[in-house]
Amino acid sequence: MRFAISLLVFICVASLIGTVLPQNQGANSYIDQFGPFWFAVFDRFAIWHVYNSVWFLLIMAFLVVSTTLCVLRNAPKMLRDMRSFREYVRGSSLKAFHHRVELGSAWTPDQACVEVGALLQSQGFRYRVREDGDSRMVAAKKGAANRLGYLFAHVAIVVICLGGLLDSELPVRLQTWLLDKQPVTGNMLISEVPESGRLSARNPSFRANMLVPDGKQSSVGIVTVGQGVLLQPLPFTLKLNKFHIDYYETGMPSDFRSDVTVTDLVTGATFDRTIQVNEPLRYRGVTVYQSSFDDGGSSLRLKAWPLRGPSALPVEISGMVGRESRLPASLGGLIVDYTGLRVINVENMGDGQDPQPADVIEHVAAVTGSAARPRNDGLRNVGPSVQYRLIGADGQAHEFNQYLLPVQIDDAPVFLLGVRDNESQPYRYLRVPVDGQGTMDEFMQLRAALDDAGLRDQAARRFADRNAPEGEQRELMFQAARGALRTFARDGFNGIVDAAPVDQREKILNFAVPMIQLSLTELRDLARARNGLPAFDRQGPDVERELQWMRLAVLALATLPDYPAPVALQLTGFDQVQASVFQVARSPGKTIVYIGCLLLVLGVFSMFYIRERRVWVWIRPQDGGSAWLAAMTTQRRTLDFNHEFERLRDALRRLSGGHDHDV
Amino acid sequence: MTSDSIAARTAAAWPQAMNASGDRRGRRGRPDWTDFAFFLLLAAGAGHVLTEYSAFMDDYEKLILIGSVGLFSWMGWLWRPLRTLMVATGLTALLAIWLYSPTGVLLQGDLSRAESVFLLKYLISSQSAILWMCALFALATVCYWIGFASRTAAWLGTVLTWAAVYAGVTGLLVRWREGHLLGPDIGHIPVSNLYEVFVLLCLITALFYLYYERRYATRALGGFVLLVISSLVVFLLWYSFTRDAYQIQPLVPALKSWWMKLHVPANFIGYGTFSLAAMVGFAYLVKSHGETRTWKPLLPVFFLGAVLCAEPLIFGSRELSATWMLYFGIGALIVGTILAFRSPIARRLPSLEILDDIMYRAIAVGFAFFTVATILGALWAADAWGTYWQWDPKETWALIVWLNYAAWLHMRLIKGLRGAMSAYWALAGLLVTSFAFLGVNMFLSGLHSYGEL
Repeated sequence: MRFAISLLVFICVASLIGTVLPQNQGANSYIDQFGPFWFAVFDRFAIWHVYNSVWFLLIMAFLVVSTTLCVLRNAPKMLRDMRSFREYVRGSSLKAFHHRVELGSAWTPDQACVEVGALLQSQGFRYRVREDGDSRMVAAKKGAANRLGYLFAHVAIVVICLGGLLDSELPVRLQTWLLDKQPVTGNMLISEVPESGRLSARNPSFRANMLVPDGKQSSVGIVTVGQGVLLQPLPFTLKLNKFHIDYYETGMPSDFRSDVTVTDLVTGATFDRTIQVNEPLRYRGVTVYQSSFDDGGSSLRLKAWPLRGPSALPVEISGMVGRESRLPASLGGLIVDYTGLRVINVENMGDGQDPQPADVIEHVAAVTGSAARPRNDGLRNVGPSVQYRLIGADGQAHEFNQYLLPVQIDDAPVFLLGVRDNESQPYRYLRVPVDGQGTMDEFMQLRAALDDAGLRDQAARRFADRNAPEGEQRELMFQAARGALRTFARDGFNGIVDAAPVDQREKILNFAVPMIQLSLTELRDLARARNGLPAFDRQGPDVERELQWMRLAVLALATLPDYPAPVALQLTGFDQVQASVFQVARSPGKTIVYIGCLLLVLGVFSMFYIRERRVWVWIRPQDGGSAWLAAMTTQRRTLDFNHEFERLRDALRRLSGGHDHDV
Repeated sequence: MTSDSIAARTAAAWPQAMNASGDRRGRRGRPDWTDFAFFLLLAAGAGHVLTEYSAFMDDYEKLILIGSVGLFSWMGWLWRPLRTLMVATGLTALLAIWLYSPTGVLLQGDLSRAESVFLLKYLISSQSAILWMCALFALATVCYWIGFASRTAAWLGTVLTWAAVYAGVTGLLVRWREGHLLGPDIGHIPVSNLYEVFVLLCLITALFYLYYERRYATRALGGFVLLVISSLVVFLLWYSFTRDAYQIQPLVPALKSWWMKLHVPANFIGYGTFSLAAMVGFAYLVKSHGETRTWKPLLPVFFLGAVLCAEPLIFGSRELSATWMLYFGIGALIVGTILAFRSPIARRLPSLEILDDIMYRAIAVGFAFFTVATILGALWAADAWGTYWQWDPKETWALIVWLNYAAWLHMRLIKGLRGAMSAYWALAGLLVTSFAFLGVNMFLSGLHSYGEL
């Protein structure tokens, strides 16, 4: 048993590790967190899927076997002990009991036997009498079901583990191994998946996901196996007629449900049902749960803005969520993968924070119970957003998050262009100021002008003309501005600062920042002129707003070199298609586990609250009646037991009508 | 040497006698006419609800209502003071509901009346009642500690604890109603978020303590148990004031289920009794070291106590909040002071045998209900998430807590482990329990996470 206990401790520790390290994430996030060396070490122990790893299952199996053996070994003994009254205890050995009393009585042994028996019976005991010549041994017991509690509880553990095993990944793994199935890892249409990627329709135990877009139907679930998936054909088709979702003001979903039509593939029978969280659909041994919701292939309309090069012309493109497409060659020909469209984004915009859209699952299936977050006053619906990935020629990908509408941050409306390297990092945002027309156009034109050497030089020239006196100073200023603009265009302010020696940096920055700012103002006028717009009016009524625009534009341009993509996609319109995500499962072990749970509850309560007691009363004849020797014992001695013994002793005293001998 | 004589020796300081039923009857015996009257009262109430509002309840909720009539009647037979509590809080809550109604018709209600009606504003609106509960618990803690020197103070501690429980239960009941007044779909049983369950935990721990106090005829443990309740109160107040946590929030879809009425309270019976047992374990160690002169054997106790006080620091956000630094400092100070005064305290504490018995009883009942709660959680998960066990951090930690106390009980029942070792274990068990209760929600991500605090 000591070995079993150390194994249990081991299981505890392993489970603990599994809770601290997020399980079942992609290999990339783990490598990011731990580095390649430790990742390899942990991978050896399968720490990423602890609960399904071979050694964990082996230990559980061992514990089950060990418990079974323990139960088998002890059960016969316990059952026998439960039934036995132990009336063959010798009278004299009762003297060794701690809780005993000796009494004298005027009754004969036979009479006493009957009286004592009646008393014991009234206290809930069952008894048996052994006749030994003229003496009588009354052996009584109650609460024997206490022992049953032990048996039930331990049998329950075995039953629960066995049932859980049936519902675990093991049956699917076995099928993969025995029937030679190959999990599918790439992206392909369901119809293209070969037989080796499909499980049998008669698979008795599986847990699958099914994503059904609005208006579409499906009869196949997706079972995750290791790094890939297998298809699980279902005995019916599920058609999503309409997916409903209601929201609270905080942006949390308040309710979501799917109106579905189920068509039996064998009999052809159909019926309608609404599936909701906490109200699954059960049909033909398969249970369908409303698990979550997702995008079902919304179509998107976007503008692709070039972020490098002297052109500011956007290209209108379209895409669909969940599908990859390629950008036009003029913009670099990158592959873009649209990963999501969120129509409602309630973000905490207080304190000028950047929005960090949380995973859907956190809002949807979680029992977050709406614990108060720090001061909800900053919550605002900032409108729709699109998430996409750009995959460069070198295979490196970044994730982007872009909001359709401008967002008010620090009293200025900006377009937010978010980027992050992978899902474990927060989004960083490029804040593009909104121009007079409410668009990004002017900023993009400025950016394009900044990449145009000719316009840069012109702007530098104008800046020098305006701010330096005639002569050598002007030429120097022109050269300085020109160089600064060139460096700035390439690397932002960091470029200017890094080129200088450390002790000079602050001084240079104090000089360079206004220079860049003013040069860019000139550049802006040039850009406006190029696009047929009037120059920036320094005295007009909107001068404050324009100055603010300029400040924000400079900041954005300074951070633009860090934006790891040559193109920015701006969402201009969409047609949303939602999809309902169902979890489809066949759990043959469920009934077994439930029976095990019932046994466990019965066992635990029996063990604690059914008190097992044994009482012996040895009645032997004596002058004037009989002498009684009574003793009481129990498996588990508690304070209560002392009280009970005292009560029994007093009752026996009263019954005997006599006084006791030495106690 | 029977327990009666032990009780008699300590009875000089604590006058009542030990009894098995925890109330005036001494022994429970058969239900008498008062039990039947109580049952009829509850049945009448349930009947009224079923006839008037049956359109708003689904079948499971009606079943739970009928079941709760039986359950509360049985609890009233189990321990008489519960009946008084239920009647008192029920009447007060009804009064509050009536006061909320501008016309006197109970079905109507106007939340803004909480600002104008005196009784609501200062006493029985849910937030006021819960704040009263916090204040009364704090006062009770002080009284119980003074009670080591004065019997009257100890008695006052009991009275204040009962008052706090009364205030807390009333607060939760009124909160239930206020949720419904906020909006048609917003009302729910007040056990759905961190704030509400903290109140529930305080109440359950206090009720179990009061039961054991009466049953074992000793007020000496009040100071100890109320230490853990006070720390819960500190957290509650901090959470209210820094995060406006007392606001009633609507339920997420996964929580909109009758399962919550069963799973959550059962869980907190487990947590409450485990906390109580841990504090009794602490008292055990104080008593067993009562006569030691050196402080070295006390180091483990002090260390454990300090770690428990430091737990919120670890749970808090990245920057060290002033409140929690203060809490840790004061906590360590309190533990140190208790250990410094261990001799007079130990003299007032009941015998080691009694302390051991209380620990066992508390852990046994907690373990039984924790088993039930975990199973209910699994059944609920099967309905809501599609599978009854998916190694979610909360589920896994529940398993770890369960195994921990199963081991404690195993050691006691099979190996006969008693004494200081089992007291240390019970005290350390509080660490595991509080991590499973709070740490998982705040630290680890998963389907039960509330996010960082």
